[in-house]
Amino acid sequence: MLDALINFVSEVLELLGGVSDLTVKSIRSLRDIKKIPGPLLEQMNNFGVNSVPIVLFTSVFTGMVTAIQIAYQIRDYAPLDLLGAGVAKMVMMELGPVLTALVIAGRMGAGIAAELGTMRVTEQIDALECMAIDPIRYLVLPRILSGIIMVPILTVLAITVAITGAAFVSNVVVDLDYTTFFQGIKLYFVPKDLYGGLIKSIFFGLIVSLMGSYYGYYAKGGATGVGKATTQAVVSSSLLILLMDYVLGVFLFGK
Amino acid sequence: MIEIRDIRKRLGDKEVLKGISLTINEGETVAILGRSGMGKSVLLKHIVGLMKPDSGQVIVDGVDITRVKRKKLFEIRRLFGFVFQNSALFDSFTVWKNVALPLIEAGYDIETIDMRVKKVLSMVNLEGTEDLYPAELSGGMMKRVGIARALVGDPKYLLYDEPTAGLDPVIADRINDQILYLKEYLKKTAVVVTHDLRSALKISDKIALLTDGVIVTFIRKEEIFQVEHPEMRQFLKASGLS
Ligand SMILES: Nc1ncnc2c1ncn2[C@@H]1O[C@H](COP(=O)(O)OP(=O)(O)O)[C@@H](O)[C@H]1O
Ligand SMILES: [Mg+2]
Repeated sequence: MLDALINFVSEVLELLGGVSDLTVKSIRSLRDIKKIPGPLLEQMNNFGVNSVPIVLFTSVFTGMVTAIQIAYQIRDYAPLDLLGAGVAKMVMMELGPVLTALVIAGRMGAGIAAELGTMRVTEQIDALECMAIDPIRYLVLPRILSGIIMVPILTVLAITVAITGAAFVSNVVVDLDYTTFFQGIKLYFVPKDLYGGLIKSIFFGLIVSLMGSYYGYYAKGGATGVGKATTQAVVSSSLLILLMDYVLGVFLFGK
Repeated sequence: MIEIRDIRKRLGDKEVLKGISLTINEGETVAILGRSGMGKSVLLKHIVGLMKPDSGQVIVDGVDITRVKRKKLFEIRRLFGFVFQNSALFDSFTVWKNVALPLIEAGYDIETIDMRVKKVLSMVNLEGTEDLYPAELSGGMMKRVGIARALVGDPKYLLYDEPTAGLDPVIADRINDQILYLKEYLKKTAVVVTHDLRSALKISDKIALLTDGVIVTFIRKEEIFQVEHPEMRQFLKASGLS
């Protein structure tokens, strides 16, 4: 029992140490700033192209089901004019950022871990080192930066699509016209709802790309090791996203 | 000159290198012979600072690379070309970009790079493969791209990790010829890690036998038949040489 606890604590500390170390090295490698744009654009493109379809799919259904749920819950107590506002707030503050991040953790987090892990176990990372190319600057930094940049962009996309989907079902299923739906959003719109959601998504982007990079970069033990790294990246980033969502939720919207 | 002085390295719960000393003089090709799992790759990685010893020194042209800052280490690495066991080519890049990458990153202009890439590709007889991807190459071709990539920065030292492993005997012999050519015409200093005694005899001047984390003999290759160590006798026997 005590053994297990000690093991768990030391593993968590090791993880924290490793992740901080990788973060510090990445920040240091920012010094070579003129060499960053090329790989960064490549990664942003990679992130975008790979993630847009699944983000669209997730968010349109999230928006539609949220509209139906809220309509069902409020119909006996409040005017349906509030429906747009309710949906928009849910989607901007919580569902947009969190679901986008979780989907991207499965898509890009896994992708980064698998790619870097393969490069590690096939000695491609050693090869970069031998060419006097800093692998952190060349591989890790562009991935982390593109996560921080692309996840908020994809979140904005998700929010927009979700609200559109919600407006559509409100019209078709609940019989609420588009004007009323969007006026409801406008009337109760607080900029902080949107900013708050986007601040969350920046952190989520960091979590996904950092955890993917960490597990991939330090993968060992051949194909099995890469598989393990991929799973660990997805699981840990999903858990951290939920944890961070709570922390930021308290911090941003807690009072 | 590369001087390895009494290096020790523990990995996991195993002491892989137990005090290794070895000197490689300019112009020499030294083969490090040993069965697999004996720590040959680990030793080679210490020479370019991909691994750091727990104790001991690795001195390259008078500089102890176990003690230098990362920036200086990167400078010293430009003296080396490293040919990895499984080639370690970047699978998302073409042959051209694989070979060109060190020069691109060092900031050379594109014409210089292209000339240099074409030149090293022709040295390894791979003209016209520039636009292929690693997945489209045979094992022997991948090895040669790996050699071309190691050569592109015109390094002083070449390090080969099992250059003939996993190749059929004909192709393996062609790689040996390649290494010999680079040694004789470009006068490169080289360290070749191998478990193939015939290949070691063909391409090297000296042979070091690595067993259980120590170098048990280090001889000129002509002296090979006088070595009494049982491990060497076994290598000779297994290669049909005694
Ligand atoms: N990064 C590592 N972590 C732990 N053990 C390692 C590592 N690299 C090599 N080893 C172990 O060190 C020993 C020597 O490995 P290696 O140098 O690859 O042998 P070889 O002579 O076949 O090249 C092996 O037992 C291997 O399992
Ligand atoms: Mg090896």
